[in-house]
Amino acid sequence: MKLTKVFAALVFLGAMAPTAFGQSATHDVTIIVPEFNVFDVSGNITLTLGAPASAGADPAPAVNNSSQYLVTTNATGKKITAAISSAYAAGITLEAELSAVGSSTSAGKVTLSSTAQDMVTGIGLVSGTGTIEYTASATAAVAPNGAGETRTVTYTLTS
Amino acid sequence: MSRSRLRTRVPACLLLALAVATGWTPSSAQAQILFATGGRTQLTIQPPAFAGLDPTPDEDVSARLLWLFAPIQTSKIVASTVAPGQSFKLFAEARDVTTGNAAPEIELIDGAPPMDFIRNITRQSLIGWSRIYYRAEAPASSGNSNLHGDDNHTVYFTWTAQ
Repeated sequence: MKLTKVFAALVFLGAMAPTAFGQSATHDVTIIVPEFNVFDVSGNITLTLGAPASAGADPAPAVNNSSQYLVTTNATGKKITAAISSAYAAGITLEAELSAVGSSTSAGKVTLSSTAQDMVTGIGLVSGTGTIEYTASATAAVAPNGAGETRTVTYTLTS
Repeated sequence: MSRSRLRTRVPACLLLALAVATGWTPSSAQAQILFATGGRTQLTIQPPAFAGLDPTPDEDVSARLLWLFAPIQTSKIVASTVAPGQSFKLFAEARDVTTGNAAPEIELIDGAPPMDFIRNITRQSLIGWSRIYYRAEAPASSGNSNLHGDDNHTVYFTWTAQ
């Protein structure tokens, strides 16, 4: 063995404070896991109502289930709420239904308003993806609205 | 005494003196020294890269394992852990091993039997060392430290015959 190599080892040994000697050595390792609650929703969508099925009926509702939500939480007792930025014109409604993730419970189809409402409850210890299905409806009394009315749906992962 | 033998014996004596000075006591049956350096290692799980994914593992390779005076017969170092109430996953692997061969990465589970950490240690050199690579994982399903407390491991490295 080269003298320089041994000398380097000696310097190294001298610099380090040994934690144990002998046939066994021990080393302490601590693992810290902070709480994470991360949530995201994909995409913007446009819903265009269809023609009434028959004369005198309301326009056919528009359904879109292309959106997803993604959630990671390593805590328990979480829920997702939803609210729209402001109400649509009278006669127009927007419903949303979020699928459950893990062992959570979906509230089913909920008519959205500017007041936050529970969409999924009992979320905990899960990382996964759920689907969002939107249904837009309008009564026959609603006049054509051109390019449409845009609202922002705010989802919140909360305790 | 030839210069080459002198070069071998003088460092050996220095190492022995250092070992005794720091508390090591040789026994007649076993005259090897094994110790870990680097103090307590702390691993902190990081947020997930994206929502929907599990939290990001943390890793550390700052600690070292050193050994002196390998026995004549081929030997190995095994690893085990004591971590009461373990909630999260801890993996370990020897890296940059100077003498012997690193075993594949092992998962350290509280109370599990020791697993091979470094194999095929021979007396081809007076000293040897390796880095200790640790990796901690905590999928969302395993919760967090607020729920369970931190995991505190005492990892045991034991030199044994192969």
